[in-house]
Amino acid sequence: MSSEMIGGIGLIGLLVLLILRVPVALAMLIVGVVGFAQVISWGAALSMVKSVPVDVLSSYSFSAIPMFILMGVLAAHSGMAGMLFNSTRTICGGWKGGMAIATVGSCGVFSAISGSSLATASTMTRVALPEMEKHGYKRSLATGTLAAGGTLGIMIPPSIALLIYAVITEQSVGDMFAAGIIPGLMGLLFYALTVSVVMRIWPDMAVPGEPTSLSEKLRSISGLLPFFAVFVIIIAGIYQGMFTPTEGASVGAFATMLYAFYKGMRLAGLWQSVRETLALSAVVFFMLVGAETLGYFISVSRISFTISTFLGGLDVPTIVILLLILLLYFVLGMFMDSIAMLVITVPVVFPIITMLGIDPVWFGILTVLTVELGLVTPPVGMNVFVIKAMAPHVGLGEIYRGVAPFIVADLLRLALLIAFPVLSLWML
Amino acid sequence: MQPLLFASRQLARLCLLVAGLALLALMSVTIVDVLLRMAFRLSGGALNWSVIGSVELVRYLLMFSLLAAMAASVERSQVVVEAFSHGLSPVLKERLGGLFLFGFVVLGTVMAIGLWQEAGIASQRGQVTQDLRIPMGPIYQFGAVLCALLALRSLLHAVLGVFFATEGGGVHHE
Repeated sequence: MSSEMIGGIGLIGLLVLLILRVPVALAMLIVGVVGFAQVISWGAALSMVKSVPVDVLSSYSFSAIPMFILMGVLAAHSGMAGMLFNSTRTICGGWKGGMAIATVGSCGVFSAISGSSLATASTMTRVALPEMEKHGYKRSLATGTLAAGGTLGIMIPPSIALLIYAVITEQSVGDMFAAGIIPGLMGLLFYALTVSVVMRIWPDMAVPGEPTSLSEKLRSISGLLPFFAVFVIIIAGIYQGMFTPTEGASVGAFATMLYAFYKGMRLAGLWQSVRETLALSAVVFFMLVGAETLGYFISVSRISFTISTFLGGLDVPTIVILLLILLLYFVLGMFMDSIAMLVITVPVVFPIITMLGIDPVWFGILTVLTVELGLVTPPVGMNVFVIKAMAPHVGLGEIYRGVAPFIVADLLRLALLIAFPVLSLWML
Repeated sequence: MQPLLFASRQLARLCLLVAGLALLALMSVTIVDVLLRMAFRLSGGALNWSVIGSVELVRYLLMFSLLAAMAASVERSQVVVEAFSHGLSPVLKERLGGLFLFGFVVLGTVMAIGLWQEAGIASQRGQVTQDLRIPMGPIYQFGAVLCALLALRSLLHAVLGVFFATEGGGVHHE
C-alpha cells in the first residue's frame, strides 16, 4: 500500500475516532503512531512516542501559552474585569443598547490581555450578564453579545490561537500578532454596530441606560488604565526589542500579578490562579502533543503533498481553493473545539497553502477568524456552552438566536479580509 | 473505590505543587533575565549582569510544569467531539471516558521508559546542559517520574471510570 493511501486511511480513521468520542489528543496520537508505524516501522514509531511529547513540552516558544493563560486568570481574579465593565458602561451610558455595546468593548479590552476566548466569555458573563438582566435586557441579546464578544479573544493580540498557528507553521509570532490587530479591532467595531442595528430593528430588546455626564465618562476611563498599561507594556516591549513575544507573555503575567497584589490578592489567590492556569494549560498541551505526533505521520505519508499537487493541477483559481478550505473550517467549526481544529488541520492544510503561493500570515488570520466563528455556531459552540453553564436559566436556543446577527457580522468581516489582504498585512 | 480516589487526589496535589512551583519559577527566570537586559541597555553597558542559561532553564521548567500539570488533571483535560454522542447516558460516557484513559496509561508509560533510558545514557556519558552544565541524567529521571505519575493517575481514573462509572474523564470540555 502506498504511503499516500495510508495517509488517507489515517485521516478517515481520525474522523471515525473523533465520532466515537475518543479524546481529540488521544485520537491524534493513535492515528499518528499507527500511521507512522505503517509507513516507516514500529520501532521508529515507538521512538517517536518517546521523544516527541518531551520535545513539545520543552519547546521554548510554547512557554508563552501558560503565561498568557496566567495573565488572563489573574486579570479575572484581581477584579480588573468588573472595573472594566463599569468603565465601559459609564462611557456608553444613555445609549440605547449601551450596556450591550459596553459588553462588546469590555470583551475586546479584556481579550487584549487574556488571549483566550473562553476565559473572556466566562469572565465577562460573570460580570455583565446579571447587570444586563437587571436592567431589562432581553436574554437573547445579552447572552448573544457575550458569546460573540468572547470570540474577540482569539484574534486580538496576544492570542493563544495565533501563537499556536505561528509555532506550528514556523511563522513569526510578532508578525501574527501584528496581523491580528486590525481584524481584531474590526471585530470590535462590527459587533458594536451589530448591537446598534439590532436595537434599531427590535427596539424592545433593551431599554436605554441612565445618561452619564461627560465628566463621569472621562473619570470612568481610569477603569481601563490597568488593561492599557499591561497591553502597552507587552506590545511596546516587543516592538522596542526589549523582549521577545515569548518573554512578553511572562512580563504581562508578572505585571498583572503585581496589579492583582496591589488590589488585595493574597498568596492563596495566586495559588488558585496558578491551579486554574495549569488545568487550562494541560488541556492545550495534551492536544499539542497529539498534533505534533499526527504531524510527523502526515509528513512521512506525503498526503499533504499529494493533495497540493492535485489541487494545483485543477483548473480553478487559487481563491476558489482558499474559499473551499475556509468552508471546510467553517463546517468543522460547528463540531470541534477551536484549538483542536487548528492543531489537527493546520499540519495538513499548510503545505497546500504554501504550494499555492498564499501568504501564510494572511491565511493564518483567515483561518483563525473562521475558527472563531465555530465558537458560536451550533451544534457545538464552545462560547455558547460556557455561557449556558454560567447561566443555566437561559435556553441554548435563546443564546443561539442572540448570537445569529453577530455571525452575519463575522461573515462580512471575513469577506472584507479575503477581499482586502492588506487589512491583515498592513501592520507587518 | 474510596482508596483509589484518595490516592488519586493525593497524587494530584503533589503534581500540582511541582507544576505550580515550576510555573512560577519559569516566570521569575524570564522576568529577572528581561530586567537585567534592560539594566544593561539603560546603563550603557555599565551593569553587565545576565542570567546565564535562561532559555534552557525555561525549557526544563516548562517541561516539569506541564508534565506535572498533565499528570494532575489528565481525567479533566480531554476535549471530545460531542456532536454525535449527546444521546449517550452519563454512565456510559463515564465508562467510555475511563476506557480511553487507558491510552494515556500507555503514553505515560512509554514516555517514562524513554526518559529513564535517556537518563541512563546521559549519566553514562556524563552529559550536561549546554550553558549551565547541569547533569542531564537527573533532569531526565525527574521527567520520567512525572510521566510515571501521568500513567499512574490515568490508570486510577481509567479503573474508576470503567468499573465504577465515576471520575473516569466523563466531565469534558465540550
